[in-house]
Amino acid sequence: MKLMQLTPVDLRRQLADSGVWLRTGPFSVRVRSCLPQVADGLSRLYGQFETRSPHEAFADFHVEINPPGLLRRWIRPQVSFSFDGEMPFKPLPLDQAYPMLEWGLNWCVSMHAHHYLVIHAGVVEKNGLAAILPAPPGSGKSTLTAALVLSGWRLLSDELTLIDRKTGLIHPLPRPVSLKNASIDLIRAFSADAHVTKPVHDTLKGSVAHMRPPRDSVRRQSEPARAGWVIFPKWQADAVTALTPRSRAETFMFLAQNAFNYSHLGSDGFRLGTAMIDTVDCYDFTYSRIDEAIAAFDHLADNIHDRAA
Amino acid sequence: MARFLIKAFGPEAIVFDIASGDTHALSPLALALYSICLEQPGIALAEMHASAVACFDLATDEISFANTQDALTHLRRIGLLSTP
Repeated sequence: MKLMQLTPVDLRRQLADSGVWLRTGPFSVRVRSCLPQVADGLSRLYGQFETRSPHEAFADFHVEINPPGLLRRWIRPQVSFSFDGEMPFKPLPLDQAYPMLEWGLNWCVSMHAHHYLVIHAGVVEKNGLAAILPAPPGSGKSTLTAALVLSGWRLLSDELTLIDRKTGLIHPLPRPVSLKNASIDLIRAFSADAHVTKPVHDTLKGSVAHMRPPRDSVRRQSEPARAGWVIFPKWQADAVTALTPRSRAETFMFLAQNAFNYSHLGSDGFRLGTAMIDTVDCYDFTYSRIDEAIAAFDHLADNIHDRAA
Repeated sequence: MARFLIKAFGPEAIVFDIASGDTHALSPLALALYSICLEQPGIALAEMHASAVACFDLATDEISFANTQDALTHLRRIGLLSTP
């Protein structure tokens, strides 16, 4: 069944009791929480996701998001994320409970999914090929990812690119898109189809909100894609939209440095990464207008036969 | 088993050191010098520089001697070349 089929009361009760089981891409997760904001976030963002009885289904990750102790329920309330009973992070203010769950789930995947090369990059797909979007924070990666998936591209992930060690294919992890600061209103204005949560302010990343992944991306979350491009987006005020070819060696080095487990995988990571770079076109991409950025990406996807690789 | 895995991308290359787990990028000049050293072990520095310049079809002064020495230092530092 889908999560949206649970009534709000059942969702809250199940979350607080045995937990809610969810499938996100290749992973299953069991979430427990007594907090209404977590139930609300899951209800708004994960309605289309498959859920099963937590008593019957195996879960890769068992996580909880709850106040760290009785005192912190009332005095300057806080929330903690725990994974298999361990707390990898310091507690955060209570109003950051839902973002903390998303950050915690990212951590679970990036620290444990070693059957993939896990790169810190957004990734979207169209016409069978995936565009990997690595970039430093503040470059507009999530904003561009959100705009692309609201314009017909399939969301594979806005944070974690999972490259299968056996096949080299990219596996989807279409969880909510994390939007920050000005991009929250920008994406709301960009499309009436954007379902964006109320922002949580004063986090370490500024104001944070999440955009619900498109239904089609969730429906196709078991369908991997072949890498077609690695594109480094950079939003710059008044910049002309431009795709500029980029060195493959430099691109590889950046991806290796921004992979969570490249060192852990040793020579396998090198072989996997270089094999992938061999098959893609690499670009730097500057833009200031989101509609022009979408058009540039669409042009790439519509002219696959022109690819250099 | 070889210590290094090398993957060329056009005129550049990436090197993985299996012993240390480190990954290095080779500039076009460093890759050319490395290839020259493999083909002509024991080649003198001046000849190596001239061969590298010829590889790129450039005038001699477009790649300085200092550039060649820097690239060789890099190759030695990462262990691809050893000093006799």
